[in-house]
Parts: sequence; C-alpha cells; structure tokens
Amino acid sequence: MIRKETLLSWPMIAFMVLFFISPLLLLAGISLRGADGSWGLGNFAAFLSDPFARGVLTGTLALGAKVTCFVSLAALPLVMLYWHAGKRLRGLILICTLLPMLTANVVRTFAWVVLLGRNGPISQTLLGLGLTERPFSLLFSETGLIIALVQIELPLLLLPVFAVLNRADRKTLEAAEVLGAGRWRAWFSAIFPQIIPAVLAGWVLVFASATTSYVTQSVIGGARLIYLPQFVYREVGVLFQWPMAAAISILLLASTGVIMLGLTMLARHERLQGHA
Amino acid sequence: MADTGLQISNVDHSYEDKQVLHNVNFDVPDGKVVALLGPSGCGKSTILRAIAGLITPDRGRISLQGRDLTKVQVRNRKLGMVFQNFALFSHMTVAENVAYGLAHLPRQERRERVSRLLELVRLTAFANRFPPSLSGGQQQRVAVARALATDPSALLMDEPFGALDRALRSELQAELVRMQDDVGITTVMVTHDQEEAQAVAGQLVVMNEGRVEQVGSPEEIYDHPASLFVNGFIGHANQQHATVTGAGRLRTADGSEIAMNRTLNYLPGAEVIVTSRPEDLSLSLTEQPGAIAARFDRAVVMGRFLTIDAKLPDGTAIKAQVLRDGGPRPGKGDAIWLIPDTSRLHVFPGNNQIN
Repeated sequence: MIRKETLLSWPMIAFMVLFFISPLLLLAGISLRGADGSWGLGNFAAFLSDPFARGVLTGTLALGAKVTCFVSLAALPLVMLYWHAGKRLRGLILICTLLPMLTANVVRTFAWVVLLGRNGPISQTLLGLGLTERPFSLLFSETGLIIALVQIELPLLLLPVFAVLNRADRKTLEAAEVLGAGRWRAWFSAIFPQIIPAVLAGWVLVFASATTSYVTQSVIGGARLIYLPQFVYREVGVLFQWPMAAAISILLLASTGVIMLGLTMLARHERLQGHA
Repeated sequence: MADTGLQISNVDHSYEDKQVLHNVNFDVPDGKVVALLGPSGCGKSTILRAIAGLITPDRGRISLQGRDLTKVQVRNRKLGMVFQNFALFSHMTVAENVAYGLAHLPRQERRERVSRLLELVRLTAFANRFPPSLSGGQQQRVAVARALATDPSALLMDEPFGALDRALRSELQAELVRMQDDVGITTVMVTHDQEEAQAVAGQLVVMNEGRVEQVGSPEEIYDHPASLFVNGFIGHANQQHATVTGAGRLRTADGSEIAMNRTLNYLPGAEVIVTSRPEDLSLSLTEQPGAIAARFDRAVVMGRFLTIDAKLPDGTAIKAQVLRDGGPRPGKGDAIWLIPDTSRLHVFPGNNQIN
C-alpha cells in the first residue's frame, strides 16, 4: 500500500528508478556480457589481469588522492583567513571562491592550457627569474594536471567548510584559551573538530570529481597520461567494446564508491557526533 | 590597596560607540562567591569577559591577589571559567575535557588530578563518555571540573545554570555550594536570576545599564535597596508617586497621608516615589488612617499566604501578600485599604530629580 506520508516522494523515486537506477543496472548487465556472447565476469578478469589497465586504475585513484591532498593544503590558509576575517572580507573570499564555479569546467581547463604552456606566465616567470634555463611546458604532465585540478576542485572543499565556520561555536575556542591553550592548540581542539565533517564531505566531492573529470584529464593530461574516464571513452568510442567499457565503469564506480563510503563512515565516528 | 581577592576598579568599556560599562567597581574577597546580577544587557557578562581577558576594557584595573591582570594574556591568567552552554570539547571524553588544561603536567600526575576532580563532581563513572551523550546537569559538572582542574586562582561562571531546566537548578546550586565549601575558591558568577544569586552567593553586585547599582549581602540589598531599580529588581516593589509634606510625612498622588517613623532627607515639596513590599502591607475592609485605598482585583492562594492584586485609584497595580487564615476575602471591585508597615517603606527621588 502507498502510505500517505510517502506519497510526495513517489515522483522522485520513479524518476530515479527510470533514469538512474535502471540504466545503472543495464550497465551492470552489459558488463557481464562476454565478447563471444557468453555471460560471466570475463570482462572484469580481462581488465584486472592486464597490467596496463591495472596501472590506469591505480593511477586514477592515486590522482584523486593527490588532488585531494593538495586541495587540502591549498585550502588550509584560506580557511584560516576566512576564520579570522571580518564580515566584509568573508564575503569577498566567498565571492572569489564561487566565481570560478560560474565558469564551465571546459573554459577553466582551457585557461589552464594557456597558463601551463611553454609561453605561459608560469614558464616565463621562472625563466625571467633565472630559475630555469629554457621555457618549459607543464602541459601533458601529471604536475600540470594536478595544479589545474586543485584550482578547479578547491571550491568543493572550501564551500562546505565555510558554511560550518559561519556558525562555528566560538565559546569553545574561548574555553580553550582560558584553560591556557596557545593559539594553535586552541584552534585545533575547538574549531578544527567542528569542521571535520565538512572536510570529509569536501574530500568525497573533490575525490569523486578529480577521478572522473574527463575533460581536464584529457586536455591537460593529453594522450600519454591515461586515466579511467579516457580508458572508458576509448573502449566505447574507438574500440566499440561496450561490455568492456561497462565493466571498467562499474570498477571505477566501485573503487571510488568504497573510498567515499569509508570517508562517510569516518564522519560517523563517535568523537564527531557532537558536530554533525 | 589590599593584596587579596579580586578587585575591579573603575572599569569602563565600549562596544563600537556604545558604552556598556560605566566606572564599575567591586571587590570579591578571597574564597567568597559573588554574584553579578542584573537584567540582560546590563553588562554583567562583559565584566566577566573582561576579568577572563576575553576582552580588554577601555579603562580601569582588574587585579587578583595584588597582581594587575589588565595586561596579562587570557591563557596566562590562570582562571577557571564555566560558560553558559558549557563549551565542552564534544570530540573529547569527559576525562580528556577535564585534562585539557593540564597538558603541562606529567602523565601520572595528570591522571590523578583528573580522577580526583571527577570524584569531586561525582562523574567518575562517566570518565570515558562523550559530552553529547550526557545530560545537561552532567555536562555542567564536567564544565566545572574542567575549570577547577588547573587549580585556578578564581572561578568565573557565566549563567552556569541557565541552560538547565528548573527542577535541576536548585539541586545543582546546592551541589555547587557544597563544592565551593570544599574547594573554597574565589568565585564570580553572572546570573539574571535573583533566586539563584541568593542561593549561591554571599554577596550580590546588582547591575543596571552598565553601572553597579548596589553591592551587598542578599539581606542588605533586600532590606535596604540603594535605588529604585534595585528595589524593584530584587523582589517585588509597589510604587507610588508622592510629595514630601514635612519631616517624615508624605502625601501620595491619590491623596492619602503617610506618616513615616523616621525623618527623610528630602525638602518639603520634593517629588518622591514611595515603595512597599507586598508582604509589608496588611489588608483591611474599612478605612484606616495612613492606609492606601485600592480596588480589589483578584487573590491567589500561595500556601499559607494570599497574594492580592489590586488597583490604585489612578490605575496602578499594587500587590499585597497577607496570611490567609481568618483574613477577610473581598470580592472583585470591592474597596479595600492596604496598611503599610511604615518602617519598611522606601523612599526614592521622583522623576527628573537629583537627590
């Protein structure tokens, strides 16, 4: 029986089943189809037994981890600044964070092509300072890709953290100071625990977004640096191996899913209950 | 200047353009509990924050046992503070919270100190629980234990019972008094609740609009209020406008004559406000000399007492509390006379007049 209280959620559930869950099941079904028309886990076995393919999988997950790590490092000073800023400066930081998000990912990626290129400002500045002997390009290198992805994904970590800082409890910080804690200890014991759930949520977003950002990966990484999204594209659009592509997609979904699940579980830790 | 206790001298403070403290002065003797009492926004929390060092007052001196605190940083003041919503570290266990201020001690000593304090606040069984899983009263005790752990020279409490429900308050107030007797620490408590202040503190500092109105024991303040504000804030005070007609004689606005049993320091003709406590009025159904004429409104039984609400001829409400048994019971709208105990009437300067 359909209960009255849940009636309003049925259109959404129907929409999700029709356009998300059934295609996903379809994808899972296709992935089980062998090249010779048989059914089984042959595609997964083939992918995982291929050292190159395995390298692409671990490389993609490593890229996500590296981007998440550098995004966190880049975010820390901004978060500190935001915390100490007055109302006006907070608004300014927020606008500066949001502004890049109003531009399409493709546009931001091409902006980075210009910045990272041989005649771009990074190369030219280092050349002018005499730190390098000849102009260089960060394009088609993992360093360049990570730099671009860090800038592109940074707001995904900053925004949830800023939201929490806006309503953070300052009394705890004062309590820590009265108890004799120095500035850093007070901040890390009073404010940091409050933002951990937001940081974990931000990490999930950054990780998922970095591992699946097909456009940035292919434009800045180029043809030599292959990550799973391009791998899937090659199977679909070049080799027409749809069952194999489906299997890789499922693997990408599962591996990022496991990491996201782990982070979410971490956020439910007993020590974080008061801040949820 | 004495080298003991906590002394607040001539403290002024402003937030932006608004002055919130005006020349605040009071002393807290060593080992005593003083309550800062006043309506919200009277500056009592500001003074507490100034003592803690969370704000730096514009002017004035705060000294503890002869040591000027004004220039000392918050973390070096060695004070304990209990915040209104307790401000516990919710990601730390009860024991870790209590140990927070003891980071400089060796592990063994720290552990002993923590267990001693948990015993003091009777929370030993909860040492490994996290604050969000505790009741409000337990959280409050954790906050007290954490504040006392560092062996502070003074304890500051900002509305320490404010976040608790009424039934729990009196129990915890008694607990605090017991602990205070054990520890004997100089304590300043901020509250807007006069019953709480009287239950816990030996001395009250009544504040209003950033000024100290009166400092004294609960009895002194109740019996000899220094201002009309204090009179009305601590307990109920009925107010009547009156004119001084001679030495110790007043005529109220509605024409009744009051003969005080003492001379007043007012010139004849001076406008004054005369106040009476509900329990200092007695009820009569016939006209009496010196009685206040009023119209009976309603009466509420409060145990052995009857609380009477009545209206003066000019519409001002007046309250009286009389013994219930055998007394007359007027009906609504009946004329009644309330006979004041003239020795307990207070006289304050009327509006627009400087004493």
